[in-house]
Parts: sequence; structure tokens; C-alpha cells
Amino acid sequence: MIVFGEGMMKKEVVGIRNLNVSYGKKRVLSNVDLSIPDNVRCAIIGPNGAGKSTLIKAILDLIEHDAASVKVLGKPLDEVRSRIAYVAQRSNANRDFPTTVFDTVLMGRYQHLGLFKRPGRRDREIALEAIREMRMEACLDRHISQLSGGQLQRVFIARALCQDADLYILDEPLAGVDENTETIIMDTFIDLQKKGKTIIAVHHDLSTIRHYFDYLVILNEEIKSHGPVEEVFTREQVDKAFKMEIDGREDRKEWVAREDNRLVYV
Amino acid sequence: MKIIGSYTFNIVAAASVLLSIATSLIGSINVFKKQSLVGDAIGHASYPGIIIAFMVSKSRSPFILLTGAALLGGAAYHLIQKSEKRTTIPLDGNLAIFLSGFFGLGMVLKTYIQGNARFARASQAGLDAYIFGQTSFLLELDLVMIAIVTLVCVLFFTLFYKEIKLYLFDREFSAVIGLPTKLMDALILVMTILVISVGLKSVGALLISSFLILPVIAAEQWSDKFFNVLVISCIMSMTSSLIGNYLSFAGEGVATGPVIVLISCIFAFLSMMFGKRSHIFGKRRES
Repeated sequence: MIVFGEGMMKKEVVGIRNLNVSYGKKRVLSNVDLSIPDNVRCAIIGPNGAGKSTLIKAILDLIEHDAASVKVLGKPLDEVRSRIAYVAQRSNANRDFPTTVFDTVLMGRYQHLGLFKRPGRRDREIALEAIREMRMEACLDRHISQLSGGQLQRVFIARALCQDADLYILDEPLAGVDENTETIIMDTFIDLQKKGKTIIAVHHDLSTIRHYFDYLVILNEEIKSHGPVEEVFTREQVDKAFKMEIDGREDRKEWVAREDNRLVYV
Repeated sequence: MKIIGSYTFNIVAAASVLLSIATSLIGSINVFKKQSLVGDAIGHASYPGIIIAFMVSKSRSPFILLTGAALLGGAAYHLIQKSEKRTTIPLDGNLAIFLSGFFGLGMVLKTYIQGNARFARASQAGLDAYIFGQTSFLLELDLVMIAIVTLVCVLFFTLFYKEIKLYLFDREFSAVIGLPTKLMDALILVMTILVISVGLKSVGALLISSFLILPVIAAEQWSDKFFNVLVISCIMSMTSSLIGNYLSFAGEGVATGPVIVLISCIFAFLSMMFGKRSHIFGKRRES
């Protein structure tokens, strides 16, 4: 249990103690201690190569690590797998595999079916509902290689919704998607939060943090700071995390306004 | 000469139909795991296994030769994996090294025993069949082994159909929901080696991997559903295998493997041109 807000006690949805990850000789994460409370929309931010995806993969046990303990929803991962939905970066799935939009979303039901069972009518209804929620009902029978980046991302999020999880973990869900998709996804996050769920997403656009998230983890090999957005998302904290030293020289990074009027840190 | 209905052709036909089912199922895994060339390496590497098993046992029992093929195929796969992890040589380089190395060893050993008095008594005729495939040498025991391997593959697919689908489409996702992906890797490898080993005599070490891959690639041009792809692939594979065997019987001495693969190639070309998912005549993929 950790203290959150004005003395209110909140359950912990992810708890990590002393996590270290190295790829070969390169240290990617060191001494990560992290506690993310229940029912938040949490963004993980940090410069390129800060270990954001690695942190997520360590939580999901997809890579080797030597953490003293990683607890998800208060328990070891293997006991709560059916309560977690994960949306990886799009490139990970085999886009040439023969599967339609509907089939792909229906895969979100597989974990609830048990061995030897096929999806039934109820599962199909749940899949359809998730597809409608993502506004993809016009493309039901389309092969997934025919979709745009944003549409494909919506398919994968619909699959995650089908899993009927308590914790949603997403790796850069907004990378390379159109504005319409971005709005649909963020509305869904708010809906999920209202239903008592927790969302943890790697995020890259600093200008939308306040708008989209209420909890923040700033990462750069180690946890620089974490807490409610209004407390943590300050110029000083972000500067501290994004300041990188390259070849002993300080690499000065600047806030830059992009063409679309978004503020990014480059 | 009457071919259809003769005892030998019946065995051959039954073996082709069964083998086509097994190769389509396992071939689909190889294609969608993007490991087509690994099957090629295992196929070539199994040939010295046949020869060594023959040299050690001085017998041409299909079971003993199959064991040799499977062991060497497995050894080659293991070495390829080791070399890929421990050296800077990329996968295609490793495949080339071990594929040609093992097959070369097989050919050297074969020419060595051909003129060798120590092996004169043991009948060597038929060892050539394993290079290009010669179904007229098929024995009942071959058919039994093909039937068993096919049954194992069909059971695996029937029981774990949705798990296999998930694993092939999105390995990371299947790992997160708790599928034993490493165990599946191992099972699939064992089945690939078994299918290749029992198929060697029909299709031959050189072309067996094409027989696994071509029908799946052809079938993939026709449907967006994994299940349909499997069914279409089985049908195409059976057809080319039956035609191939018939032609090989009709023109005596024609190696079966090349004929089967040639017909599979024709199916693949036609599918690429006219298939509903193909790029050549239809503009399909937008992104």
C-alpha cells in the first residue's frame, strides 16, 4: 500500500524492487524501485534508449532480469496473467499471417477459453463490441495487412479490450497513428479508468502528458521521479531526466515546437 | 502397364496423401515463422545421417535410416543455432555453411562406400533414392512411419489449433498470456525433423523443404484465414504429389521429388498470378 493524493490509500498495481537489466555489457535499467497505484492512467516517459520498453518487458517477464521482486496486481505475474492485457509495438506481430480484423480481435478471448475449446457465441459478441468501440466495424473481414498504421493499432487495442483485463500495458500506443485514432484511444483510456482499470503506457509526446495522463514515471536508466502528473511533470524534473551525456559532453536538448504545434523535446 | 490399382502404387498413393497432410501443417509453421530456409538446411543435413546409419548397421531398414536422418538433421539445427549465437555470422551465412557442409559429407561418404569391398555385401541400391526421392522404393514400413508422423502432426494441430495460431501470429502476445513458447519451439522442431526424415525417400533431401513450403505459399494467395490456408495447402500438396508419383511411375526411373516439386511450383505460380491475395494481377496490399 502506498499513500496517494490527500492521504487516500490506494492499492499498488505494479511493484518493483531493485530491478536491473543489461543487454550484454550495456546496462539498460539500474536499481529500479517503482510503485504504480491502482486505477491511474500512467505514462512512462524518457529519452530514446532510456529503457522504457525494457521496463515494460521486465514487468511482463519477456526479458531476463534480476529484480528482487516484481509484483503485478499484488501477486507474482504467473498468478495474474489472465488479468493483464498487453499491446506491443505494432511491428512485433507477423503482418503477413492470414488473419482478418475480426479473427485478430477474437484472439483476445483465447486465454479465457482453456485448452481444446473454441471461441463461442459470447466470445464473438465481445469481440464485435470491442471492434465497434474502436470504430473498426467497417473492416471486419479485411486482412490486417490492408490496414493503415492507426487502424492496425485500433485492432490490437480492440484485442486487448476483449481480454477483459484489470491492467492494460501498452508500448507507444500513439506512435505513428492518425489524429482520429489518437482521440479514440485516449477516450477508451478514460472509459477504462472509470470502470476501475489501470493503464500504463510508454509515451513519447511530452506536450500531451497533462491532457492524457494523471500519473507519470520519468525514466532514464533509473527512475528519475514518479507520482501524480501535477506534482512530477515540471520543467526541472524533465530536464533532469532528459539531460544526457554523450562522450563526456553534455548533449543539450531543447523544447521545440513542431509543425503541428506540439511541443516535443529533441 | 497398369499403374493405378497396382499394389505398389497403392502404397505410394497412400503415403503421398498422408505425407502431404503432414508437410502442409508443418510447412505452414515454417512459412509463418519465417523459417523456410531452416527446413532446407535440415533436409540437406539429414542425408549424411542416412549414409552413416547404413554404414554402421549395414542395413537398409527404413527405421534405422530414418533415425540417422533425424539425428543428423537435429545436430545441424543445433549447430546453426549455436553458431548464430556465438559468432557474428548471420543466419543465412550459417545456413549455407551447415547445409552444404553436411550434404557434402553425405556425398563423400556415399562415393566412399560405393567402391568399398567392406560394404559390397550390403545392398546399396536405393541410397540414391534419398537424394532426389524415388517412391518406387517405398516399403510398407515407410508407409507406417509416414502414417504415425502424420497422425502426430494432425493431433498436435487439432488439440492446440488456437494456441498455434496465436504463437505464429504474435509470439510476444502469446508469451504474455502464458503460452509455453519455448516448449512449442521444441515440439515444432522435433516435428519438422520427423516430417523431413519420413519424407526423404519420397521427395529427397535436396527438395524436401520445397515440398513443405511451396503448397503453403500457393495456398496463402487464396485466403485470409489460417484454417482455409491449411486446407487449400493440403489439397494442392496431395494433388501435386499424386500426379508426380504417377508420372514418375509412368516414365520409369524418373526421380519423384523433382516431378512433385515442379508441379508444386506450377501451382504456386498460378496462385501468385490469379490468387485473391496476390499482387501481380490484383492490387491488394495498400500499405
